[in-house]
Amino acid sequence: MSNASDKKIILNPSRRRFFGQTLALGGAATVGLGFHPLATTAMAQAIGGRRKTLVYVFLRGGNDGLSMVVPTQTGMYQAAYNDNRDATRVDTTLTVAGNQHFGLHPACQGLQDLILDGNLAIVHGCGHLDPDTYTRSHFDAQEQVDLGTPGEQVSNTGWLTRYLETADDAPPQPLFSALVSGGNPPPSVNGWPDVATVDSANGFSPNPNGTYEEAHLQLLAEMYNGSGSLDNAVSTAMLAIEEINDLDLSNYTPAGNVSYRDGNNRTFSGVHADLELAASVIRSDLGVGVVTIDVGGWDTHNNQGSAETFGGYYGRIEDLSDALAVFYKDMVGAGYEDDVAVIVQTEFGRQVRENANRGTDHGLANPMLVLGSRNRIRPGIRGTFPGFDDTPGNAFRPTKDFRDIMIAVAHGVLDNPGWGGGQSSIFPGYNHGPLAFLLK
Amino acid sequence: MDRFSTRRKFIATTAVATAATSTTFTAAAVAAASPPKKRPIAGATQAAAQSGTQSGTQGAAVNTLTPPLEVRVFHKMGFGPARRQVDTSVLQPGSNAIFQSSFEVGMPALQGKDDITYFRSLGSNDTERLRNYVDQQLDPDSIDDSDFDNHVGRFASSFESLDEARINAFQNRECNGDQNIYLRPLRDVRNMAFNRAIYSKKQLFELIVDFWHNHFNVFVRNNRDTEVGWASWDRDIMRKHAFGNFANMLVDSGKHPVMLRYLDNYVNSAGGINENYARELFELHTLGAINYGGVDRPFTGFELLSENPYRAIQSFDMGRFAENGVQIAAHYFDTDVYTAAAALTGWRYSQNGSRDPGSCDSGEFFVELSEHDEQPKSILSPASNVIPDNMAPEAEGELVMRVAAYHPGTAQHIALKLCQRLISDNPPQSVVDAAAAEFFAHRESPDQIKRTLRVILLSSAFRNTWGEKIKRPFEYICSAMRAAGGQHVFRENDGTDNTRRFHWEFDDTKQELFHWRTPDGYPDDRAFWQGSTSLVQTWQNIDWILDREAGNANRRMMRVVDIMQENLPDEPSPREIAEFWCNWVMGYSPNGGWVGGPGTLYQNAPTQLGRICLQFMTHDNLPNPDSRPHLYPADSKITQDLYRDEWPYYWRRRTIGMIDLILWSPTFIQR
Repeated sequence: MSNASDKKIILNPSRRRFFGQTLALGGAATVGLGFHPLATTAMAQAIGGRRKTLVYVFLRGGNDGLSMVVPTQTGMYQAAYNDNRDATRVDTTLTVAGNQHFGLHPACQGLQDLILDGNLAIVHGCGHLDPDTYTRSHFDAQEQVDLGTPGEQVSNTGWLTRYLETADDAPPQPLFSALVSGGNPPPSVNGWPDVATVDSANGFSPNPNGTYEEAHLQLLAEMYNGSGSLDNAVSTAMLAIEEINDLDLSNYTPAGNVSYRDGNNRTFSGVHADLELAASVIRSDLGVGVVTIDVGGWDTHNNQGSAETFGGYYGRIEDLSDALAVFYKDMVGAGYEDDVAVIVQTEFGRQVRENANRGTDHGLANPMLVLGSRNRIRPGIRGTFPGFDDTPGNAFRPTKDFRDIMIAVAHGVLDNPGWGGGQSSIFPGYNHGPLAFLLK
Repeated sequence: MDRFSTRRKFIATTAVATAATSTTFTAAAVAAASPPKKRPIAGATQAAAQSGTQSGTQGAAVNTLTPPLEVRVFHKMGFGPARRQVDTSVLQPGSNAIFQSSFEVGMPALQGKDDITYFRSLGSNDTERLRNYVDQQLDPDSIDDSDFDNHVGRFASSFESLDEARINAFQNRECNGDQNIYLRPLRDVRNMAFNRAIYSKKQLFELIVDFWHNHFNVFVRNNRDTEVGWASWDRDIMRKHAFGNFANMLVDSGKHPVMLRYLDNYVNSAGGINENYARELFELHTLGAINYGGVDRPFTGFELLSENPYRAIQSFDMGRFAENGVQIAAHYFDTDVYTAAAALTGWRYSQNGSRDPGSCDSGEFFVELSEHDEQPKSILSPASNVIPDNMAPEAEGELVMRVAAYHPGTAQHIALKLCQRLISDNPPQSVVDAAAAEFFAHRESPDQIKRTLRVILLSSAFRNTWGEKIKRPFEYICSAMRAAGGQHVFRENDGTDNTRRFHWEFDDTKQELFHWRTPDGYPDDRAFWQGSTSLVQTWQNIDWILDREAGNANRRMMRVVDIMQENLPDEPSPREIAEFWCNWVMGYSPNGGWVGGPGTLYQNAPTQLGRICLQFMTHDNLPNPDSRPHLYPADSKITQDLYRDEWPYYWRRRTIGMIDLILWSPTFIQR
């Protein structure tokens, strides 16, 4: 396997405004030009390009999957569920066509819509299958997932880094190939050189609107024109500054007759804001192959709540569900259905039996969400529910390796090459299980 | 596949249990018991550090220079050097001395005023100076901190909650719905953390206090009780023990209402185990994830320490753990977490309604006997019932904490983290082992942490590395204020409104103090902080503090123009301003200076930074958004008033813009 940390950004003059462009134009000529080469259509066309994009949403803290995909009060798990859950029991559910045993949390109207549209599959029982490497530690478990190498947490690279390494649809001059919507890059993109992290589209510049904004950007780029990791980080930041300031998110118009924002033009939630940025960047065709979004607050040891609106869980799952629906309807409406897929995942599920504090402690298996083209995925609730009978340490026993889902999406939905004989180039040495339950 | 051969790089020679043969541990034994499972992946290479290479590793930016030892030491042992004065005797009008590296040597009059000069006065060679400086820093009570006192002493009423007894803080603030009351401890601690980092000479102490805050991380906004207890948490746990004894710190932290609340141990009971605290006790506070064995401890075949580490403990009754023949596991498993959680049941603090209903409570620690699990238990040992039944709950919990704290895996974990803080994301194993051995050997000493730090700071790895770390935003902003004339005192009653506005801006850097939500604390590896968000927002923050009220002598946060007027001859040229500020901020000049002597074209400046500063000051070949005259001869005296930001050259604004660039440069961002 090649080592992504050896990769260097190619200092392509046309890709970087503060190197080639200014010198070519000459110093004096820049006066009055606005110094914004990307503002001209011809230059914008030379940079970036359309490609498949994988949006990876990580619910940090351990989502209680049993509260998201809920045993119905008329299904076969009713008694066991009611035995184990009381303060956190969700009594009413939204129905999912073709499944009498499970429904969705009542706040998950958005997910229900997506299933009806044929764009969402929920996969039961995800985790990994080797009991020797089960972990209840947030940090170990997140690393197992982010690096995609449970049992061998010495990998240098995140699983998305290997996805980007093996994708073959990068345009010749991507502006930047990975976008982190948030404060800091997660380990899933460890080792990838041009990761842009953006958390606020407003005033994203070292000296926004200052007298010397442009001079500062040029000289910053010169100071960091080497090939060390910090140089790469800064040059990617420069490109992000330039691009994000051109996006004008407050005037972004989603397709699909949906909105990320309320009547006062404020985003409904942080997840909405993150996905709006992702949508805007994807539809700008910059050559971004991966977008990561972290959503926190799922570690519900205390006062988790139930089907009612009190407790923390209701609002969180509602925001997530609604934002995902808005985002994917936007993608479908804009003609990007075949180019964009979303994986929603968490580090582990929570224990079967709730604790004494109206909350739930760390467990194992948990559902994953896959959003993708109706031409590729089988919508609905998929996979094998582990059941209440064999629960190691009061946790659901995983029935499906999470890497199988990543592989199905990377290769089966987004056409990343390097897949065959039950192996994926993203997870060398790993033999995946059957994928037909998820893929058309 | 063998779990250990893949998930952790266990050293093959890890001893399988044998009869204890001695009561002291060697460095090798401590190291072998707990080889790290994984190291954070970072650009810096261990080989480079070991071979004495000073910089230019893969992680560093290319355009960096290696500063002299005194500059490196201030950046790595604290928040960078504070400059106060340079030797004006060599800066007479017409003198070219400013363009020579020698201009700032030989300034006896400044000793004790300027950090760089002070360090140079501490001995006749680098070894002596470093040792003396380290020993001074490790004895903070001996340090004259009048500069800090002068800054902060004027605003005593702004820090009223810092000395408040914990019981008073709870009783006066917990039940008060006014956020100016219940958030005051947080605000005071946060403001004072900045003030101390910027103005105090106890630099190492402040850096290590910040280290412990992150090691025992609590999200301050978790709950009203964590908010009102914050001054006590900072004072009675972090500052009290920062250089002290780790086990005592751990025990005090576990009984503190802030920790009891944040990690839910206050609701942990025999009838309803809540494992949250017990898990982090092992995983984060003591042995660390590097010593995690897995979910279930197998009945046989797991590794044991070659010696029982508790037999030597004198100051605390370790009970059966210290008995002859009791063997101790090398790593912890989830079974240990669950058992420890049971041992810690019944721990409470007096909170609203829990003990004295109807009154506002004290936050005091107490035990609810009826909620304590009385069963005999075993942790970290194959022997059964090493914790006997019916132990007093407080003693039982404390025993569990001390068992964890005195374990050699904890020595390895804490030593690794300290080395990562002070040296590199990938410190050489030799210095980690040496620090771990010291930490372990002095497990019961009141100055255990101080001794461990001394081993690290006097190691060749500390002395010879540079640029292995990137400054996190807190370090970056504080070092910028120290380097470029910060004068603002962050405080509650701030008529300038600079404090409130500053925190609002600083939060965008993603290192708002005490606001990391999960118990692992802000990450310490450079990859995390190299994201565009943190870089751009921190640069923006630096520009903001330099600009803030710059035209108002009483309200400005940074004394930029004042410093120039105090230290530069009348009517300096753009070249002199550039050279002066490069030296002032960087703390030294390379041979031949930064920008080159009079007449040198900016293109031919001896350093890239000097070239960029001179180019910026004269605005040659730079984008200029308006039609103002932007070319100015580098060697012409500036006759305009530097304070006043006047047309057509706007010298104050321009000088600040140039200082931005110096502070944003690859050399200044690293440590």
